[in-house]
Formats: sequence, structure tokens, C-alpha cells
Amino acid sequence: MNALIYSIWEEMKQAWRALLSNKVRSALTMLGVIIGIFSVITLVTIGEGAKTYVNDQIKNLGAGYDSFILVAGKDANSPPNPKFTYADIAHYKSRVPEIKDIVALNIGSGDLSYGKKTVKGAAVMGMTANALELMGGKMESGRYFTQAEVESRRKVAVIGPRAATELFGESSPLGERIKMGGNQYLIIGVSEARGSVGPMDMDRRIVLPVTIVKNMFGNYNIMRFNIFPKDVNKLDEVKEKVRTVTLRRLGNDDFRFMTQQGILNIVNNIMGALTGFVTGIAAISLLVGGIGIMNIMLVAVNERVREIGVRKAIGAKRRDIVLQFLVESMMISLLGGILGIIFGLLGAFLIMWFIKGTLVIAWWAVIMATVVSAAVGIFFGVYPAMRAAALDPVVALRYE
Amino acid sequence: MKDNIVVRITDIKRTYYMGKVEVNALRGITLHIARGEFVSIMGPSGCGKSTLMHILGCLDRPTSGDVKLDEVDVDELDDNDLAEIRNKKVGFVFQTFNLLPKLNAIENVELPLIYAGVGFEERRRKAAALLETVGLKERMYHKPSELSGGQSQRVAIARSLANDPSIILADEPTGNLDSKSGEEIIRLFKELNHKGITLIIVTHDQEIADHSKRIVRLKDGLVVSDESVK
Repeated sequence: MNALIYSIWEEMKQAWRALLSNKVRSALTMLGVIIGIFSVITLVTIGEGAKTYVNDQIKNLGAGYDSFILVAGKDANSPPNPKFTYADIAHYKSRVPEIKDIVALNIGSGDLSYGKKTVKGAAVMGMTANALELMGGKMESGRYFTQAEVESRRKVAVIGPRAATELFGESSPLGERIKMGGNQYLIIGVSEARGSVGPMDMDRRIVLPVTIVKNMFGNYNIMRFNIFPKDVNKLDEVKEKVRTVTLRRLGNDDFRFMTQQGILNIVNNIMGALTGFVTGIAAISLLVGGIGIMNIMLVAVNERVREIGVRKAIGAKRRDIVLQFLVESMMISLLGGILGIIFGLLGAFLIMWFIKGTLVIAWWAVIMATVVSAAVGIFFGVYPAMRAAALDPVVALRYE
Repeated sequence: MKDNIVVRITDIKRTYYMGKVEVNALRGITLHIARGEFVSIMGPSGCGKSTLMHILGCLDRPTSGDVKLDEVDVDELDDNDLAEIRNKKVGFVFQTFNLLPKLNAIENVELPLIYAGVGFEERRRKAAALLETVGLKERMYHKPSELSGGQSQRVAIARSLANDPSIILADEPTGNLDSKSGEEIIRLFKELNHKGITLIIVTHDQEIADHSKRIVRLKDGLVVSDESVK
């Protein structure tokens, strides 16, 4: 075994030289493998990045692993015509005792103004008092509103830190009143910076008691509930109970659920389909690349008939000759694979940089690509190597 | 007691077919060569000397007859064993040198040692010593393309000696050299023979053959004369 590893090492050194002595040819031969591996690595890496991105976004939305979302509208394409009300929170809690808590949410947009300064198109989020704690928000200054304030429909507001600086500069906004849509709101707090969730800039938003935010249909009905079960493991069970209650309450099925797993599944399905497609293309590319390698190796065998004769004359066994050519074809392919991985990661890095995502390297894909490219070289190198090893030394030595 | 006869071939015949034409290259040759001999095999082209050389070097097998090399019965060996015999017991020197062009002198000499599984340091040391023996200490790291014909043939001789073989087989070793380099190669062979190395040279050049101790003449696949040189 050691002897075999040793001779593979010796053959690798010689194969490396053979590759270097034919740089252009080696590079062209690798191209098929490079392209195949490149496309898979790029896509898989972007896919991993997308998954991470979506995951983070979902967490920001509050649909973490510990809750699910009940939203108006049968599917994402039908316009939600919300029939949920604030009173439903108590209704669900009494019908489904496994529910720990419910956050109600309405989202709209509006222009904020203070004196002459304005923040146009700010996200307006109507929320319940428990949202801060349950959805992991933090306050920069001031306080969040209370349940009493929600229920008494007080016009109090928490604003994002950028909205605060845009409207008040360096001075504290707490206790000031800002205008939006003909109403005045008392600022009681500034939330911590959180960046964006999808198209919404969380740092320029205004958060109000959900009871005073109108949805896009102009009424106070609620678009969304984030429902937190007492036992995270019974998420699906609680979801089914909520479904039954909702069907009875609305009299129709114009609503849907979103879970972190559900959203991830959608992303995974899309990425899976894309990966499958690209893997197919890569497989064809690798097949063509492999045949190219086989072709070049047959040429290399023909060019080196005399060398093979000499090697046999001085004691190379069949196995040594097979090994020599197999190692060479494997190295061409492996090198192509490694270049493909490097270019692929580079490509993914550029795309991620461009869309401001994070690069998540899928190590399983890198390892697979390495193994597959080596395997392609070995597989397509077998036939040329066998031909080389089968040469009669007497004939090979006479070959001009 | 160890047999002093290193090559013992008995009534070997070799027939092959060129298309449908039967060629009887060797028609019954018996030859014994003792350790330390310096033998020339001579004859006109087509006499079968190359075929004989291939059989002596275990590159080819006879159609019939016995070949014993250093007390090993070659007939009973498979291809792998033959490769090992070629590696350990036979050293080839060719008319066209047959060095591998991508390897430098010392790496060419190391090649048989690689196939013998000798580790890097030992094989470097040995190859360097052999190149010194053939007078090429200064040219160890030169590629064959940077060496003259005579120097290339010296590298090839060093290579043939790598595994301390029982016999050195040289096929027209001076055929591609000018007369001065040729003489130097013959002098080197004589020195090696003096150290006890068994040499078999195939040549059609009488002058070269006169430097050996014994001349075997072939004609039409048979030995026609076998005599010592005075």
C-alpha cells in the first residue's frame, strides 16, 4: 500500500511536468471540467447565501422558529381583504389555550413631518404592545407603548433612528409631536437600528398601536397575526387548531399561514430546481470535458509510444504505465475542478457583493466538486491508460 | 555453488508473421555467456540479431526453446515478472539513447530505481554516483537536448547500470555517434567490463567487435561462428 502511494506520488511529479510542457493544450482540455464545476459552485454558493439571507429576513419579520404567521388572503397573489380584528386576539386565546401570545400587525406607509422637515414614504407599522418583547426588538431611547395605550387607541409613536435624525437632528425627539395624514402623534420612543426587511426600511419607520393604523383598504382590520404557541414543538398542532377556529370565524378560507419552515421550503424548492437544472448542464459539461480528456490522453499515448517502450524496457510494469496515464488524466481534471471551484467562488463572491449579500461557502459542494472532477479524470483516463499499458515493448521501441 | 553461466539459451526459435508471411527470425540458437564476458553479436541486417537481443533482454519471448537468465527460467514468467527481470537483471543501451527528453540526466538515471521502488534520497545518491562513474558529474542537471550524443549515451549507460544488472545489452551503441565519441563509449564499456560487468553488444561494426573478447556471428537466424578475440 505504501509502495502504491509512493509510486502515485512519483507519477504525480512526472505528470505535473507533462502538463506544464503542454500548457495551452492542458488548459483547453480542462475547460469542460472548469465550466461544469464553475457553474455548479457559483449556483450552490449563491443558493446558500440566498437561504441565509431569507432566513435572516424571516427572523426579522418575527416568524422565527417559535411562531407562525396568520395572514389575510388565500395565497400571495390574491389581494388580502383583512377580516381579522383586534378582538380576534382574545378570541383565539380563549379557543386555543396552547397559544402563549399573539402579536397583531398592520403595515402601511405614510409621510412623517415635523415643522418643515419630512420623511416621505416611511413604513407605518401598527403593532400590539407585546411585539417588542416577542419579536426581539430593542429601544434606543424612551419606551414602547403599553397594552392600555393600544386598547385606548392613544396616538403615541415609536420611530426608527434614521427617521429621528432626519426629523430632529441631534436633539431628542422624545415628547415631541409629529404629523402624519392629518393626525398628530406623541413620540415616546426611538427603536434601535435594524436595517431593512425586504423593501421596508426599519430605521425610517414609525410604529403605532395597531388599533390606530388603517390597512390599505382604509379600515382598521388587521392584516397579520404572529402567533406564538406555548410549546414550540407543537407549532403545527396549534396551527391546525387556529385554522379550524379561523374557518369557523370567517366562514371562508381566505387566509393562509406562513412559517419559517414554509418560507424556507419555498426557497429550497426554487434553489433545488435551479440546482438540478445547473447540475444537469454541469453533468453534460463534465461528460464533454471527460471525453475531451480521453481524446487528449489518447493523443498523449500516441505521442509517447516510444517513451512507453523505453519505460517498459527499463522495468515499468503494466501497472506503472496505467498509473502514469491515470494520474496524468486525473491531474488535468482535478486541476480543472480546482480552477472551477476558485472561479465559482469568485463569481459567487462578486454577485453577493453586488447584491450586498453574505458569501456562505458550501463546503460540501466544494468537496463534492473536488471528488467528482478527480473521478471524471480517472474514469475517462482508464481507456487511454489501458491502451498505453498494452503496448508491446518491442514494437513501441521501434516506433518512430 | 553459483552457476557461472549468466545467460543460458538453448535451441531457441522465434517465428513471427508479417501479414501472412511467416518470418523465421531465429531458427535454433544455443548460446552460453559466462559472468564477466564481453560478447559481440554480429551479422548482416535481417540475421536475427535484434530479435535475439530482445529475447536476451526479456522484451520478447521465443516461440520455442529455453531462456535462463541468471538462473531464472524466463519461460515460466508472466509479463509482470518479465518487467521485474528487465528492471533488476538487464540494462539496456540503445542506438538512439532513448532518454526521456523531459527529464534531466540524473532523473533519467533514477527512472529504473523508481520502478524498483527505491526511495528518493538513496536513488539520488546512487544516480549521482553512476553519473560520476561515466564522467558526467558536471552535467547531472542537464536535459538530453543540452547534451552531446556521446554524453547522452553515457547517461544511458549510467541508467542501464542503475539496478546493478546481471547483463548490459547494447544495441549498436555507437551507431549514432561520431568516431571520437564512439571510441570513448567503447573505452567506457571496456572499463565497466574490467570491473566485472557482463556486456553483450549487438553491432555490425568489425572495429567495435574487435574490442570485445568474443564474437558470435549470426546468419539467417543461426549461429555461424563463435570465437574468442585474440
